[in-house]
Amino acid sequence: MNNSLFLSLLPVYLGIIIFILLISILYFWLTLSSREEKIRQLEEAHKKMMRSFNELDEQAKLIVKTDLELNKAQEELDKRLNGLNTLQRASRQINQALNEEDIFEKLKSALFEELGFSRTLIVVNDERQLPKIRTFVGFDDRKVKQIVESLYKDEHLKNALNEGHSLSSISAPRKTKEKMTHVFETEHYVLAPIITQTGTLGFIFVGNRYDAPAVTQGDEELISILSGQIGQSLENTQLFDKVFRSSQELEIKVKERTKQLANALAQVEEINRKKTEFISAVSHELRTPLTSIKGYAAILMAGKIGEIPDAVKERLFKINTHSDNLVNLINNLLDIARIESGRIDLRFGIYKTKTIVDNIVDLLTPQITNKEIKIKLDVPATVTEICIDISQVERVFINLLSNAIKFTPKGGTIALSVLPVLENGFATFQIADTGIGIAPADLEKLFSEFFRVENTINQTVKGTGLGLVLAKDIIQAHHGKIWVQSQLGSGTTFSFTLPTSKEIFDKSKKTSPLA
Amino acid sequence: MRMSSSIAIGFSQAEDPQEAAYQASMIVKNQMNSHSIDMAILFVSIHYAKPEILDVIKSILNPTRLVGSSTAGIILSHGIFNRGLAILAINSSSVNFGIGSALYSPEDNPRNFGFELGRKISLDLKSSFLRQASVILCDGLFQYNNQFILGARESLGYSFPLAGAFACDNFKLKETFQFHQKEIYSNAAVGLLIGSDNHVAFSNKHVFKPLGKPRVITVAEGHIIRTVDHKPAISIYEEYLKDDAINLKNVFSSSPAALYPLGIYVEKLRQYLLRYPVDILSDGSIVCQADIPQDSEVHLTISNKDSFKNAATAAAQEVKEALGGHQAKLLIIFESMIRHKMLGRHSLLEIHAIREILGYSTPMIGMYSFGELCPLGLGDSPTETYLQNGSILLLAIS
Repeated sequence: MNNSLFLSLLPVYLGIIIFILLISILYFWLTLSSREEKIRQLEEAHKKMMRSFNELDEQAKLIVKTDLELNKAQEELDKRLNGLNTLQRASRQINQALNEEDIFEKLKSALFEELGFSRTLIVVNDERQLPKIRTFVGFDDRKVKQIVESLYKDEHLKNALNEGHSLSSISAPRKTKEKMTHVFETEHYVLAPIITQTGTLGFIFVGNRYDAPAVTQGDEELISILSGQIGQSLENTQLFDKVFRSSQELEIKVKERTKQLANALAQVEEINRKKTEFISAVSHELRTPLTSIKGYAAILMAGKIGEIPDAVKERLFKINTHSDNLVNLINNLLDIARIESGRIDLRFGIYKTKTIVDNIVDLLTPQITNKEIKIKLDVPATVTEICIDISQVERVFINLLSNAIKFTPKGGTIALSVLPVLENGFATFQIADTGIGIAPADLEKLFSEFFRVENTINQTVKGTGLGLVLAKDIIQAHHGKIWVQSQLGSGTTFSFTLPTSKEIFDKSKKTSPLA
Repeated sequence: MRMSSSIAIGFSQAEDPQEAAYQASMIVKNQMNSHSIDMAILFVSIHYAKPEILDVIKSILNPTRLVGSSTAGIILSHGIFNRGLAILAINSSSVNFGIGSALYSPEDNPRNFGFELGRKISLDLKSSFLRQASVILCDGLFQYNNQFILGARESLGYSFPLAGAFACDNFKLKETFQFHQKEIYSNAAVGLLIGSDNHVAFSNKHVFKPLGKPRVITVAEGHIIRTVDHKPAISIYEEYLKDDAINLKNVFSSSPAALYPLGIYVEKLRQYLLRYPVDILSDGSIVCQADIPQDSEVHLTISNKDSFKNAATAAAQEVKEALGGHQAKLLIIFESMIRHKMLGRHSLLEIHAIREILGYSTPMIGMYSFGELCPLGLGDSPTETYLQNGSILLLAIS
């Protein structure tokens, strides 16, 4: 029963098993195909990722390339800015230089290092137009001499410099470049001529060895500007030197001439002193016999030794008059000699200006009245006193007023005035006439000894030619000034200054009395 | 204990080195108001790296201790100078300094070189002072820096923070100089150990970002990368620089590689260590300043001016936080000379950014270096020292 049941159910069992088997196969097949799909998908994703990764890496390369370019540009910009800054500083320094040595002293190694160069050589011709090494860095003495010799022997390089061309390791033709590298033993360089208006004076070389970055167009431009600046500064210093030398020569000439003039002045003073001494001695010697002559003439004229005929009396009178003139002349000469030799002691006193003026005018009133001359006095209240040696100053007033009376025609006017404003404590007096005036050529000689203006009045009226000299000396002894203004036919004005106090006199210096 | 101190900074650009030393010393002397000088740090551009400057400084300032380094540029609060001589002078009752120097010759073990320096500066510091940090100024052309740093850490302590810089010259990388008391050296390292209870804070940032797809350093031997992705190492640059790759062998500072340092990802620091190629060998291998771990991921990296300024700002901010509210009394900056070259006339922007955060009255001095030495890592107080290129390192004492 059981077997028959089993047999009867066997197909069912088999069916179930087959079904399960089929399901399993189906499941396995489905799983397998899904996994393959996943692997395929993963492989796809991996490929995609690798592609992205590589793309990112390519982008990174692009970033590096761009970044490098930016860095180069920035480096060049920094270098240019730094170069310009350094150049400006160097220009300012070398522009201040007063001589050639100063210029090269300022172009120190630090400057070129800042510009990025470890080797420098500056050569500038001397006065004989021979190359002279001025500055070098990064070379030894021997090498520098070799470089200069080689460079000036090479016609091509020499011509390039003379024509004002700069050369650099980036712009020079291949052969020149090789030659330069050989001469300077420097791979990266700029060579720029130093040019002035007279031509090429020398050159500036800067460079670096092989292990440094190459020079750029900017470096070449910068060094060319610097060489131009050096040329300009050299010209300036040469000009300055020329001006300085001229000024020194001029100074030497002025000193020599001053010395000559001082010697001449000393000689003149010596002669003048001797002349004064001579005049003084002669005057003293003359005065004694003259006094006797005058005395004997007076005795004779008085008839003390008997009556004398009228003709003799007339001659004796002339002897007496001429003797008086001679005595006056000798007295004047003695006064001048005393004042000029400093042997006179001024006796200063304070005097009322108005009183002095009035007294002088009173003294001369007869002559003024005789010639019917109008006299105008103007003494302002601001100048009340002056400090003078009255006996001397009176002679000045009398001298000048007498001259004014002498040369003023009948009915003319004389004005004696004092200016209301003091000049450094000195009062200014003016004596103006409406006389015949003085020619300009004579004005210059007016205060010279024995000079007398040639005019009709002087031909008839006698004079010594010493009055104005004496007046000048007296004013000078008072530290004052005297001067004259005149116009022919219109009149003459004499002006002079006198101190208002002893302090003013002491403080002021004795100067030339002629203003 | 707060820092009772006098700090003076003198600077000169006089043409003659002795004259420059005289001028800078006189500025310091006037600022110090007759205080003696416990410590002098000297930064000079290559033009002034002459023994006679030390005689002048000694005769005028007579500092108890002096160390210094040549540099591609001096950083001061009022400007950045590619040429000049700067002296930082410190007089302090609460800070003590230990200094020393070590000379390296090719037959020496670089590790011993570092160890010797650490030992000397440790011995020179008074034991009563708490060691805070050390500053090392090393020849920038020295290439076995991992060993050197390891040696220094061995003598100073593995967790002791080392900071410092690798000296450079006028961007040529031909010869650098180190100063110690009255001596001037090349192929040497000088060190300074700071002992004080005052806060000392560091921060180092670079902000260079990886560029392009990652590559793998397939063969590296010490500080030389032989192959990248099984190709000569130089290929990484050649692929990116194309025609400009011809300039890779230029003097380093004008090589395009200076703009794109290699960034090596260090998993435990979770940041990129930067490495400049200092030489390229005939087989295309790249020589770096410090060891390169083989199988590391490597990228070319890139940055820009804004990022530099941001890095300076971030470093200043980090220092300020590390000082915990204390005002910085002195700030010393060590910055990659390449950053200076890339920033050009904008270099001062970074300095303004730093001063804005740390205060305009804080005395400040710095130098441009060819590699910065600084503690890096995760957490608040990183202590493992690495050599970093292309970065800015701030060291502040409160």
